Amino acid sequence: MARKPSLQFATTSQENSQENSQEDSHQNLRRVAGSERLPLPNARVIGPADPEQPIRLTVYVRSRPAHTHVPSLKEIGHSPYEWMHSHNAPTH
Amino acid sequence: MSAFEADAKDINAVKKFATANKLKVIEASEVKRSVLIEGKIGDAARAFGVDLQIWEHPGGRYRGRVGPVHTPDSLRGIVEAVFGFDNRVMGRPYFRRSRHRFVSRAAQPLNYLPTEIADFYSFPDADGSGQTIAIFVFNGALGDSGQTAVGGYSQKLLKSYFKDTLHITPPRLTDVVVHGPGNKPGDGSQDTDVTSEVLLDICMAGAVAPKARFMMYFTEFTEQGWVDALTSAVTATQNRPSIISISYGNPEDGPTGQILWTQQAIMKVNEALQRAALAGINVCVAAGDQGSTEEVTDHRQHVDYPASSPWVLACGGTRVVAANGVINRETVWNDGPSSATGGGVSSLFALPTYQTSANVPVSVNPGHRIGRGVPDVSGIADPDTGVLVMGPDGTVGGIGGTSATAPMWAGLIARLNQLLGTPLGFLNPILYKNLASGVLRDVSEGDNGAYRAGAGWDACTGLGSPNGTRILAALKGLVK
Repeated sequence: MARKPSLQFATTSQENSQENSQEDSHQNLRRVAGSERLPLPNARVIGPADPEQPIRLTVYVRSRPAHTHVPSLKEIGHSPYEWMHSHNAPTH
Repeated sequence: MSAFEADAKDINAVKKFATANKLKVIEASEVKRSVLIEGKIGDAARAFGVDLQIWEHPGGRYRGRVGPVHTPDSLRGIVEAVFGFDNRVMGRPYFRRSRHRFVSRAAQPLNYLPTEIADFYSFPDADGSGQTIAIFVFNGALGDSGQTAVGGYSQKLLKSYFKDTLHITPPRLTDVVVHGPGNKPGDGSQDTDVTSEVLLDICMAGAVAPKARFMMYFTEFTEQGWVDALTSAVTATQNRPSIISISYGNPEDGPTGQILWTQQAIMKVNEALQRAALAGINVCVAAGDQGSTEEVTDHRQHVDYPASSPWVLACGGTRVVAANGVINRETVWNDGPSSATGGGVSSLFALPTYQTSANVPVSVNPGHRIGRGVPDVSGIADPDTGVLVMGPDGTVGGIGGTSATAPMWAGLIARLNQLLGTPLGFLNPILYKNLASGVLRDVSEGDNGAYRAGAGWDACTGLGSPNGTRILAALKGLVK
């Protein structure tokens, strides 16, 4: 990892997706922000990964364009339990 | 919560990209906001602009990449994270075996059954009926070393423990395999075997809430394993948990190269935890077992992730001396740097609103940052005053670690949910606002290395260990 993460608590999914790709010189591709990796300490390469081996990847995409509001902890102020009772909301 | 969901167009764009690059779409979900794809390493590496190598280091061998993952212009702004290329081992279990071989209850009176722990912490009378607790289990391949971490549970051993030792009905367990081999119990003879951890979690939470339904989320020790398992649990539509117990973690930061979490993984895990909190799911996480350093070798203090996420109930550890159902002394668990409760001040997360009146100190590290204080609560963890649970070899023995504390709190919250008739949901705001004084058992003696315990919140035991009856009374008082 090239940079120490500078994540702050109030980050929401919408904020995360505001700038999630940056230009890169890698064959017209753009790097996915925050995906940088460094080798583990004292690690050495012993060869390329076998290109014929299977691999499974999970690709996560941005949330819907932000017309839906995600409340922060500051906004909710209290737990859903407290909220449910203060608003007489149905329970399950 | 739809605000967290994906637009179908974005999901389709990723599917189209995958297919164009000879990668097969296994699962696509707008709710999870993810597309699971499969193919050959060569095709996948080319598609995402990644050079994959096999690396060897003192801890083993792994398939790794250096630098970022890439996407084409057509996916600009759409893809937030890609996991699965790098399979270095992420996460370690937080259980500790007693230094003394367990002989008998008479010879070692400072080992307690979970039911006795529930008694001396005054848990209110309930059995967890109607509640669903998810327990996370990590096992499977360890990097590219050819080594595998076995781990799981044996119904036969659990039946023996619950029926013959505790004299109660064993809990109902349902497996959810997200990644890896699923339930593969070992005999405890291998260093990498996590069966002791799994049994500890089930025995602890299952004894406290035996009528709860337990969803066992199996996944692998990778970033992909962490993110996918959490996302699956918090978006589950069937058997959705109201409580999640996680007895694993990794230091949240460290010197360059030693940081195991990528920024994208920290963000996606934290987002899943935020989703959990807002959906009324309480996530109990072990705060770590290596004191205030978490054994990071940079002469600084570190807290663990995901315990340091502001969206979880971080669980620290204590040492308990009790007799005849009464606690005579409770102190910070600290048997040395390799066997002490985690806790401190986060270097990643700001001080959350709910902790603003908790007197969280500044970090002792240079810069003295103000940040999220860890843990929130605590409970029995010292292996020398350990919990008597079933071991992989079929014998009942003492074990400890903050791995015992997280499932204990999970079981207690199941009882509280049952008695209140509604899920408590994310506990922290109400914990700090309404239960901070005179409700929990304040543990004010001891230290975990750099931080000392004291009156009120501290970075060793949080607000303290539980007094279940007082917690229930305080919560009932809030809704009168």
